[in-house]
Amino acid sequence: MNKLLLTYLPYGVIDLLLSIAIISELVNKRYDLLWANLPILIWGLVSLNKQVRKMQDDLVD
Amino acid sequence: MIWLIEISIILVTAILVIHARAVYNQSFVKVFWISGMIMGFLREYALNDIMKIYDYGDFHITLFGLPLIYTLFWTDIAYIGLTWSNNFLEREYLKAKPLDYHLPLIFLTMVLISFFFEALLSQYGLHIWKLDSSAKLWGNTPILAPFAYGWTVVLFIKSLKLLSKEPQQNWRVLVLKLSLAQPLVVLILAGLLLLSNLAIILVFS
Repeated sequence: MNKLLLTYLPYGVIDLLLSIAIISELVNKRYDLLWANLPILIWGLVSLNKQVRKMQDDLVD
Repeated sequence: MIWLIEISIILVTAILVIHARAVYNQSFVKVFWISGMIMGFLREYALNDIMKIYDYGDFHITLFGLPLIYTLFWTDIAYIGLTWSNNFLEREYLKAKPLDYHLPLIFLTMVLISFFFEALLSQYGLHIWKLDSSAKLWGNTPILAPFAYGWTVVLFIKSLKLLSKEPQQNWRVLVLKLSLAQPLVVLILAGLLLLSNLAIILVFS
């Protein structure tokens, strides 16, 4: 399996659940709940970014 | 939508198992998911049936009266917390020194997962909290909820680390040891939740 895709899988599953949550909040007009999706999205991006950078560094070395 | 949520959790489990098989090995998958599902089942039984701190909504797929997604969900998010913290700290928790930054990061990940997942469940009345505490976050979700997520996963991951210390263990022995440890994990969790709730009541009263 592609290494980048493999790295993304544990983040992709949260993105899948976040998509369901956001669509659900938009459909139910619960705009007050939309903020709740943001913190985990940011933390996921930070963690994924660190891993991708490490992979890039490993490739250079 | 409830069907979609349930099927998504099963799909998430399948994806994470594929990831764990590729990154670790087949034995790790068996150890992690068998003991994790036992922990999830015992946790839900203790918190829902014995402590009665919440009720379930109309879940379609159940196992002995408990929603199947919960037995899978706790293991899935434990694996996500473990992987995200490993990636951020660039080292493996199971091989790291005892006092490492992994557990606070895993706790943080669980708190943030609880923010969006409880918001999702509350829209369909799938998780109805019955706590006396007046301090609420959203959708009738008490402040205790993020702590419940955090303590559950931190205790499970810690038990995995403690019991997998011994090198060259047969995976069947480790599954047995870890599964037998889960009632104790759930007992400690219940104690921590009572203390956390007491602290929340004292702070917000």
